[in-house]
Amino acid sequence: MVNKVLLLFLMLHFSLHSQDENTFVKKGTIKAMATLSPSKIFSKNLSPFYLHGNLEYYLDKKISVSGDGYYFLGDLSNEKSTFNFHHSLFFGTNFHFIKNNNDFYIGFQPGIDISELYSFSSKTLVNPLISVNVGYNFFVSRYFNFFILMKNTYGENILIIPFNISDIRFSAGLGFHI
Amino acid sequence: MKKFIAIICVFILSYNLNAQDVSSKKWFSLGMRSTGSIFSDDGFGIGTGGQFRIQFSQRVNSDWFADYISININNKVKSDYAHIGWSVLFYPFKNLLYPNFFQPYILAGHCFDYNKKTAISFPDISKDRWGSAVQAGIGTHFNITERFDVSLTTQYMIHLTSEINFKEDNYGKIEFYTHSHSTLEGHLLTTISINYKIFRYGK
Repeated sequence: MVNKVLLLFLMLHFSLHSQDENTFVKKGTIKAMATLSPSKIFSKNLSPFYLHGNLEYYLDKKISVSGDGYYFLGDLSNEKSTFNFHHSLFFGTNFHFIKNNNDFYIGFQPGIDISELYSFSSKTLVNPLISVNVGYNFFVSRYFNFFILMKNTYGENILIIPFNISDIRFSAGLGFHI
Repeated sequence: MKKFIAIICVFILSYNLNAQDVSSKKWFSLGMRSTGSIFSDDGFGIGTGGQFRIQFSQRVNSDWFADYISININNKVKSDYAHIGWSVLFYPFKNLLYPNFFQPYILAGHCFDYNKKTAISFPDISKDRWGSAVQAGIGTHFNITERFDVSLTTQYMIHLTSEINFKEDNYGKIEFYTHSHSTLEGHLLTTISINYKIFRYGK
């Protein structure tokens, strides 16, 4: 109970503080986060989930460069997983529409997929990926923000078992910025 | 004669003044790219990579790129391409910098390319080669802000080397071979890239 009161107090403090300034984003702002990210690969009805890490640097209030890493943790679907692992890396740019503490953005990130199929454990596969981001950040204080991100990736695993690895990934949680 | 020298002097002076203006437009940019490749033989594939740009003048830019493209050939062979090279961009229309949204260009250049073909069902069967290529095409920058642009480029790349081909026997086994001569095969590359002008250089 005490923890909940403390949490509410902190949130109120942050929200009051947030009204003091229009935005916490400026040129040179660095934003980082780590969260769990579920996804859906529709071609094989798979639901991999990842540890998703992001590091973003605001070149100005409209443009940021962003690097994302997805570390494969497992598959939520009932079917036997196709992958031993299925990591991916992205690097690209987000274009931001900032108003007050709200930061809506769209982005484009080329990337690579690094996978190993379950039935062929010794072969690491690398495939190019294209991705589009749609996301929203809410800056609640000088150091904290809440975020939600949907990433649509497009790619194909070609070697051994060719199939479409395009997916939709969701991430949400608490982020940090300085 | 004096009149001629005077005209030359005026011309040189105006050129120098213009050159100072042009030199102020020199930018170093950094970006990422995704590429769609359409091969005459191989089919469609996608790639990922990056580039930096060194602008020589207001009308001339250069693109230094590296990318990796992967193609599925009829579910039988995986064809991986790696390119590293450069292109010169020429802007045919003056004064189309930001805030103009469109900034079209023509480009041509050269690259080194690496190709590895692998049998999809038998990954131990593969063949690779190094080669060289030339490319030319058209494109446009979409100037989003003064420093940020999205660029769309379509160019045809011709490989100046022997291509790797394959044949399949009655049991489905893939065998790779190369032509004894260069075949001038190529592919149409459509690239979308995002670029940010990091800093000016020169005077």
